[in-house]
Amino acid sequence: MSAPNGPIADLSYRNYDGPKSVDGLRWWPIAKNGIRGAMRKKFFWVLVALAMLPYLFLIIQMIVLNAITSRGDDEVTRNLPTFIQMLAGAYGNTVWVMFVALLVGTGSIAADNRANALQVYLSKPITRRDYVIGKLMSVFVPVYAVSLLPMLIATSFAAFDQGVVSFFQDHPLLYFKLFVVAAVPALAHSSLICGLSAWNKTPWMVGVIYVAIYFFWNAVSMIASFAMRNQIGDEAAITLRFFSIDGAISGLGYRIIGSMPGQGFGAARDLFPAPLPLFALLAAFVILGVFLCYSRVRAVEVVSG
Amino acid sequence: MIELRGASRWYGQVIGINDVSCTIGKGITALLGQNGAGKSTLIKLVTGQLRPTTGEVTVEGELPFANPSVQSRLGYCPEGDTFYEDMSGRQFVTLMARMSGVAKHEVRDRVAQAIDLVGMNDRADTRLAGYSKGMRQRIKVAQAIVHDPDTLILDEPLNGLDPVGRRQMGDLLRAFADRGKTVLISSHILHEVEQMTRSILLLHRGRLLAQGDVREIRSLIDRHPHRISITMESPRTIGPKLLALPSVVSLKYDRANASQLELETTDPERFYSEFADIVLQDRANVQTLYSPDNNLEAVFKYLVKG
Repeated sequence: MSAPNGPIADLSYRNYDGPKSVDGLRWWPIAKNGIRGAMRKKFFWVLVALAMLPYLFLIIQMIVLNAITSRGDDEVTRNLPTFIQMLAGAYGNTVWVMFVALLVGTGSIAADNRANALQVYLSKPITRRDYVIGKLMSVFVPVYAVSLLPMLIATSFAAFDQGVVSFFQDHPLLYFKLFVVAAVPALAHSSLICGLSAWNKTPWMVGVIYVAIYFFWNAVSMIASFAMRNQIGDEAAITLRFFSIDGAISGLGYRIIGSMPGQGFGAARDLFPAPLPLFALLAAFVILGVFLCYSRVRAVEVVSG
Repeated sequence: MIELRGASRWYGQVIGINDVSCTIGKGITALLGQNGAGKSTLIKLVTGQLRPTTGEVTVEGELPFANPSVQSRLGYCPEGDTFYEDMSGRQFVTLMARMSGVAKHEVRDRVAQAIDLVGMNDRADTRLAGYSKGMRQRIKVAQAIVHDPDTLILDEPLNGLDPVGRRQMGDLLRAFADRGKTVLISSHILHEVEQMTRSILLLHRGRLLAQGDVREIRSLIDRHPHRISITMESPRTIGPKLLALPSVVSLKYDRANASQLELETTDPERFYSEFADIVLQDRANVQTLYSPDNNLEAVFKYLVKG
């Protein structure tokens, strides 16, 4: 081995005769690099802590409710929210999860565009598809983990608190549902943010555009649902209320969990948005995001005209 | 071995390269041309990032476009700084090694060796944001060789390197080529390239202008007589005899240096033979003899600028 700053040419060079994998999970090094990059940021952990806060309140709520229940006042106990209702309420605080997704995802492809790094990546034995999957997964995995882990912790706390056997008798599929429900925000955010990131060279600009779309669309759907409620009825109005990025994420989540907090429809706590439009909207987000990524990810800028 | 057969690439109305046919064998080949000559397009065709509009490009007999099998045996060092600034050099090369398909248990050793080869041991764990241009250049080369490719493509690898760094890089690339690898270097630092190789590929406005040994190419350029500069005692005595030679077109004495003359010849081989005879006959004391335009820069100038 040469000394630092020594001659570059080194006669001790050893040819590499090991395997060169060109099959399998070729996207994984890209995804892993993105995940590691996110975890190296201190602000990521701040946002993770903030995203866990609703579930921390949920646990505190459960402790307080236990104290109330132990007094044995049946009238009070009957009106207390159930764990599932509280879980849905905590899940509904999706904004911190979105900020986690922004932190992880805005630069995912935009930074590569800016550095013209695609030239290098796509000269490696990976395809455009591998690259796009790798980038999507580098956002999906952290967002999924941030969505899922606090729910698992809160649910496990509830299970031990209420007695594991009786809890699972009451909620036999809850853990399975949690794994599914956590995928909803992860899918929506990762595909849309990566899609926007592919069409931009400035990560903060991607963040500004996404936040603007997110909140503006949410406000429009909310105003429209209230404005049109009398004409289209409660059921259509509540679906309209959830017809946005935020709405599709929370609405589908509530459907899967099986409860939803009140949405300003009086006692219509059990009035869910129709699942099909929201599922179609989520699918559209995924397809659009993947399409945006795939159409933009090229090793070279093509000059036309 | 890299082969282009009638390869053309168009970007809409813009020509990248036009009907280029050539073979690039083992050893170092310099890819030369002015800005817009088509060097980058050719490199992207060879590295499989572009598909030729017409014609065919093969690397070791396989089509490189989006072909992981070819790309796993190919190393590419682009001109631009393609980095995540918050990664260290070692992390960057490690990522590239994994993307190149190097087995997990081999990655650490391979990365260490590549970093060692480019002389970056002492700064490998520093963030890339703090790297100088020369250090970035070295780490880019490290990522290109980390998987021990059979074919190495380097776009302006000498940019940003100081003279010592250029020499070291030249040594590295020569050592790489000596192991039977194909090395294609795009560069505009002609005298440095000339130190590495005499084999060139000259592109001009998308077309292949010349390929082969730079001296052979120079000898074929008839319209520019070869200049030969001679330093000797009493050049004015031997000057008339040289001017009388049929291969000598012109001759002039250097006013500033009385012992120097410069002549132009259309047939350097014949001149050298005749010159030797005259020197022996007259017992002339020749101190230096060289041809200032028998080099890559002159070939480039004559071919491209006419």
